[in-house]
Amino acid sequence: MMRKLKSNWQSIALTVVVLLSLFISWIVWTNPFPYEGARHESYSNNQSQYTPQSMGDVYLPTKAIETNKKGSQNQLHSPKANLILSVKRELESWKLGRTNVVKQNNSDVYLSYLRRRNSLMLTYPDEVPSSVFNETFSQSIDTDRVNQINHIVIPLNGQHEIYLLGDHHYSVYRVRVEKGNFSHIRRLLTSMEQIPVDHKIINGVAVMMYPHSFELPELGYQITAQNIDTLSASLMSTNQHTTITANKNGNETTYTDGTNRRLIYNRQNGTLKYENYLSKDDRESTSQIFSHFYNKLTAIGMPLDNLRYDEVSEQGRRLNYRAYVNSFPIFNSDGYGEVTLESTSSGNERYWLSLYSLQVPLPIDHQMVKLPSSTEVINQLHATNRMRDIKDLRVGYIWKSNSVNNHVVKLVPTYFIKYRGHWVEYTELEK
Amino acid sequence: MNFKRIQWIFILAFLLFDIFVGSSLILETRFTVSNGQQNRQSTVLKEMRNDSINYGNLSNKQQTGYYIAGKRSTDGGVLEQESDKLHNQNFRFTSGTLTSEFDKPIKVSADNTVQRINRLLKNKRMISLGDHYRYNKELSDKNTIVYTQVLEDKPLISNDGQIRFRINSDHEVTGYTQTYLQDVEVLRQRSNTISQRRAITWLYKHNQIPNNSRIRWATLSYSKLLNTTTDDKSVYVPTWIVEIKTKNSGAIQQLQVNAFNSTVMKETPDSVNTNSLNNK
Repeated sequence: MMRKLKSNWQSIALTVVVLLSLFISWIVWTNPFPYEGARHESYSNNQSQYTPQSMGDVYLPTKAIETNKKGSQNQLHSPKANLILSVKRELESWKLGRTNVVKQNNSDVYLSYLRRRNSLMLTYPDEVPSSVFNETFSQSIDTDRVNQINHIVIPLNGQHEIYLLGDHHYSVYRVRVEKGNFSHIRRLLTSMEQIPVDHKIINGVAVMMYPHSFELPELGYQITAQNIDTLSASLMSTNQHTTITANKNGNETTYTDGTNRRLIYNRQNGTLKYENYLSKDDRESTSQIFSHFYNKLTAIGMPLDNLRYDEVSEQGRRLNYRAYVNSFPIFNSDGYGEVTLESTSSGNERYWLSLYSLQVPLPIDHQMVKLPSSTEVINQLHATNRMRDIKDLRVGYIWKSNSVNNHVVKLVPTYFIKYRGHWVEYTELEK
Repeated sequence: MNFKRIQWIFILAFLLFDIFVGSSLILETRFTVSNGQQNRQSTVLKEMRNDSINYGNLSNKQQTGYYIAGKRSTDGGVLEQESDKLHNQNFRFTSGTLTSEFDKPIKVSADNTVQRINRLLKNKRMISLGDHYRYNKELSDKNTIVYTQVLEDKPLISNDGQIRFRINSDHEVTGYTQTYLQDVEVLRQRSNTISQRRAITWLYKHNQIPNNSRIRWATLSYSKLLNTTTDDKSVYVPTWIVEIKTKNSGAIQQLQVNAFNSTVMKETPDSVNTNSLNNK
């Protein structure tokens, strides 16, 4: 026996190393996540701040839509229960398996998935890369196969699969659920309030419509202003020894570090524009933009608890973040409560932000405001001949900055229309 | 080239492959750990130990909470109405506080005090609204047993919702004072709060914890953030309340950290005028 082993030891050693290499290859191929995980982890480290919002909390879907067995759809919302946060925590414990393409470039099929009976759909305000989905829900779906995601459809009829939908090219992907409890999700839906909705494809874009008139309460918030000195210090801070000079010119103060960075602060309305001229080689790669900007937000020290990712530019290098309350976006004509971060392909980084944000909700008498159906809104817009410049429609809250009292604000629900690339309150367009 | 040599080359090549890919896999994982959040916090914890700050097990679990509004029950409020049902005691209700003296002191022993008072709380004729309160070990001592009102599963640490039972030297409950927060309303969807460990390390990094001290406890509770003019309601926020004892002097201090945005809570809450928001 021993002799046999001795004479064959080379072949045995060869077998062992070959098997070992097969095993390692198998680990690498089946589970690319350790690599990705490591990369993400090192990213989220730069964040120095003590914010309880992780990257996944900022890049969350913002709308939840339940479709019942008969096919009618309701948007779910609540002043108390945070359905999306609860679903996120649930999905984190799931194990998703193989992904495959169901259909592409067919708007009818796509619409049928948007209206899939007996399902819960989570909708992002704009597309996100599948790597962000993975980060948010602690999954490792194939990012090469699935590109951009707009909706997550979770069937509630016992099927062990979920669907990821991308508006771009009307892509529908099926993802097998290897481990996951659908009944937990079903239970979360019971405490939610409902607004009837419907999905349509208008000018090539999937739009959520409100077929009936409905009511939402007014909300009161305290306005928090960040200190310009702290904000400018965190924006202009650097490891190198450079002096920062501040120049006042009219209503504007311009901070420069003499080389490549500049911050313009408008003292009148509290808005800031920051520019950093990096070289082309230093710019962030497009695939890393989402995590790069999340780290920037935490480094700037923005309060993140109401802030959500809201829009991405066509080239994918400019991201917009917006304040949300109780699942509805907030709009302000001065850009308060909003942050836009851009990294141009030539290497410039530009940020637009303001000192003001909404943090503490206030007890007020919460009067109910009646909103018309979106059909009515669209009919009115048809009458003004502006329909072809309209890309999207949403219900949100308006934050009017010219309120008498500067420290508190009343948020009023209304429709917002995406008109020539900007969100405008719908009554503005009717004028 | 003979077969043996080819075999040698193969063994060597595969061995190199295994070592290279295997080590990169292992190193990559270790890289994650050594750079992680956990590690930075554990560095801070180590620094704290070097400064002789003692602490127990600090949880790293992220919790959730709400902004909550409510107002202290005053004249004609819920607490006064409910107090009509009280028996076997002599009570009065002044400026939002119910003060009561039992006709016959209730005998308790050191090991069943809490169980006995829990039973008392279930009796509407003895204590009003008793099911809204829970025993609070941290605030109690041998002369006073404190029960705090519970808001969304967390204790309210405020004079606005508490029952304080008086215990005399004969181990008898002689009476109590009670306040109650009514019209409780959740103002915003549930959101994440910082963990216990983060609250402590944050306080340490901001020089709030003196050297040579001991952290006695740290609990997530609701405490008052703002007063408003809407019906005299106040806003309460999830807060990490941390009690620290200095080892030399024995001095005890409480620190409060807002668990939503990691800021130290003010001693006196701000007042906000909300009249312009109400359509009256």
